[in-house]
Amino acid sequence: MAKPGDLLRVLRPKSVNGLLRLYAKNPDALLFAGGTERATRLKPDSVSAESKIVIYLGKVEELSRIRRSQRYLEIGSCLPISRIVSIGRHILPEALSTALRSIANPAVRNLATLGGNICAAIPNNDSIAPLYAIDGQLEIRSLSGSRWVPISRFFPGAGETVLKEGEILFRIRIPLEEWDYQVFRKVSGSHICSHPLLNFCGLARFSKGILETVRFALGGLNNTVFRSLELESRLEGKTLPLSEKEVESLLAGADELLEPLTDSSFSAAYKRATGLRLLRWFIENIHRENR
Amino acid sequence: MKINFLVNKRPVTINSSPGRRLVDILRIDLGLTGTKEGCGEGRCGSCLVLMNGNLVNSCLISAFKLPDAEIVTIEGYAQSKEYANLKQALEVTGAFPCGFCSSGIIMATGNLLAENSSPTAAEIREALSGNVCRCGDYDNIIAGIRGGAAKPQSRRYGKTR
Ligand SMILES: Cc1cc2nc3c(=O)[nH]c(=O)nc-3n(C[C@H](O)[C@H](O)[C@H](O)COP(=O)(O)OP(=O)(O)OC[C@H]3O[C@@H](n4cnc5c(N)ncnc54)[C@H](O)[C@@H]3O)c2cc1C
Ligand code: FES
Ligand code: FES
Repeated sequence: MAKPGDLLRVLRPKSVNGLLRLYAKNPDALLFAGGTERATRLKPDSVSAESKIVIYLGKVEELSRIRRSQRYLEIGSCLPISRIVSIGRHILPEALSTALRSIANPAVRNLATLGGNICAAIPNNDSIAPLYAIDGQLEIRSLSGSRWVPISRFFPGAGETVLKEGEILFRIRIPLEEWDYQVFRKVSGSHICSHPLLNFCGLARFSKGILETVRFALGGLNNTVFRSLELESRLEGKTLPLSEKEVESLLAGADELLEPLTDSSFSAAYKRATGLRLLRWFIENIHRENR
Repeated sequence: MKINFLVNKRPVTINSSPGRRLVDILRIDLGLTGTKEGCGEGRCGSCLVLMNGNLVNSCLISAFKLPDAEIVTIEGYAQSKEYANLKQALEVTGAFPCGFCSSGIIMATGNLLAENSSPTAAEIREALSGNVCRCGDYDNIIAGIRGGAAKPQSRRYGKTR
């Protein structure tokens, strides 16, 4: 742990192997991707509260790759969000693309990376709810190998990730499924590119007026993202448009399961009411796409 | 650390601790005070510059990212023909009462116009969504960028965004 006045040392590996070796040797080092979370915390000459060694990921070419197969898009953790949006145009699920385009502002998006948005361990960051809904997978690497973790298991508790000593997020795998209806909405506290308070992602697929698959995820209620496979499955096989009874029954089910927490800005009651309104808006609108 | 990079096409060498911010290096070390600092955390756009062709907030760039980078500040952009046209259009609408936000807004606009020479008002708003004008002169700025004069009723400060 660094002491006030310790000088900042920056390591700039050029390959993943070099990065993993350096990180294994310096497990307290601070990983620095776009730096939009980190940069304002670095003091010019010292890093008082955190590590005195920074490992800059931006020179590792393998972390900025994007690869498409028939079923997946795999995005290097260090690719800036603006590049993901432009390369992924017409490929990325629309809800995820909308979420990424809603982050901060164009200049910040040129710096901020998807890996940083996930590893900042703030589950209401805007990429997270869409990644829950589309069943995104994360590849984690360390010197001892690689493992895949679904995004739904990446945040074990408040401000935490499952990354262990020496592990980095290597890439994010996005399943490329067809959806008939996709939405992303966020609620922010202020209009100037503020962090979201709540965000919601909903996806639906239907055929001949029958709902086949429905997924929805709600971020910002508490320290994790809300998704309920049980509630989703209740809608599957239903005929569109949903009846008022079906809508109300689903909302009542969600009301029971939501566990909002009051934070410094908003009460649990407000978050619950807003979360339920977002869910209502999604399910009441599914049938409009089915015309 | 010793850092070599390009600023407005000129090679520059500075000695800086790696955590210093580009906005400070530009303003203090290099005397390029056209780049302003407002919020210091990526929200207001006063400090926008181009880095390797991308629009970035210089308050979020640490010195260790600079080796071999190419930076363009408002002083560099002001040498271009595009700037001359934009300046003239903005003068017509009388945008920027105090001017504090102007260098950031012009850098963001130059970046937009390089990709899209006749943007709609909505596209301009999106491109300037990271720029705050404390005088609230958005209508005149947008009208200037579109090369037309703002209508008199929209000249009130802070009316729309
Ligand atoms: C003005 C402003 C507005 C913002 N608005 C929004 C918004 O609307 N929505 C939103 O979601 N976010 C917003 N943010 C937050 C921020 O931009 C994002 O979280 C960003 O995506 C972080 O990415 P980065 O590359 O800058 O991360 P960094 O700051 O470099 O890192 C963030 C964290 O992740 C860790 N990390 C980064 N990469 C890896 C990796 N590959 N493996 C392991 N750990 C890693 C770092 O050690 C650090 O702890 C905003 C930020 C600013 C400055
Ligand atoms: S000073 Fe850099 S964005 Fe405000
Ligand atoms: S003109 Fe005064 S801040 Fe924009």
